[in-house]
Amino acid sequence: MLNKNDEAILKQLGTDKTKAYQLLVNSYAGFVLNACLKQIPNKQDAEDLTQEVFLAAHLNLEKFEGRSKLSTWLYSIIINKCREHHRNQNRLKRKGVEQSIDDENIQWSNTPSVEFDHPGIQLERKEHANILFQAIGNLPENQRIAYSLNKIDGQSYAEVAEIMQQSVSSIESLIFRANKNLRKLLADFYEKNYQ
Amino acid sequence: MKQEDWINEILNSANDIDPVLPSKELMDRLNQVAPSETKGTIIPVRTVWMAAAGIALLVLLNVFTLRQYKKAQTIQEETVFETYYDHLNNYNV
Repeated sequence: MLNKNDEAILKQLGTDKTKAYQLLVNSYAGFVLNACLKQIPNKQDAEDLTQEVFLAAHLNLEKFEGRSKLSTWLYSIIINKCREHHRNQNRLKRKGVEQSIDDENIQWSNTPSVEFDHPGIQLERKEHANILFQAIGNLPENQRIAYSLNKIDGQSYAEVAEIMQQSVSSIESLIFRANKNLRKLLADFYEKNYQ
Repeated sequence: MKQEDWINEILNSANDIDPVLPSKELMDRLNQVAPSETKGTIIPVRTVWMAAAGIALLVLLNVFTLRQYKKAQTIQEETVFETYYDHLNNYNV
């Protein structure tokens, strides 16, 4: 179901695309920036990604038919852009070979794919949040996205399933495995650094 | 602190993240996306590659035709030269 704001944007799209886009920016800039920050916890990178997301949204705005909420549609663009960003970062740091694609060989990598700089996390939690985001960065791609959307961004299983275009049961399984792997990664980190 | 407690603390460290407001600079950047994009025509990458391939094919065809032409010209010149001497020989000049 579309909310009033989405309906206004769709209505404006029929008459003036530039105005519809401006309405979209004014309504969703904060939403997109915060969603990007929860996937890529670096202010500069998240701002660049936000710009890329809005450029893609502007180019494809006519294709939005209103079957889903605008936020869900924007989320799918955000996820694609974040996937690209992670892949580019891993390629740049030649970390791709280290990152596991299955659950069994998962291991902690000390090279974070992004430098942690999240302005929305309180100072006393920054150190712990940095470790958490590093651990999340070591998860296989789909687990990382599903976990971030559900646990960090607070989306329901059904919403995550719609954004990632998968069934609810496969999302449940992805998040279950992500949780298990995160515990394994964090235990590994704890043993190496605190014992 | 026990390992399990520490892990739980880490997993809960991203709860209650404060929303971040977009800066004025970012809003300006976002609002510039629309006009800058609508000013020019966007050509799909596939079309650009097709055009590049077409030009390359034309250049190759030209090179090939020129080579064939030069080859044909050399053969023709040799034939004329030979027939001239043959002609002189035939008449014992």
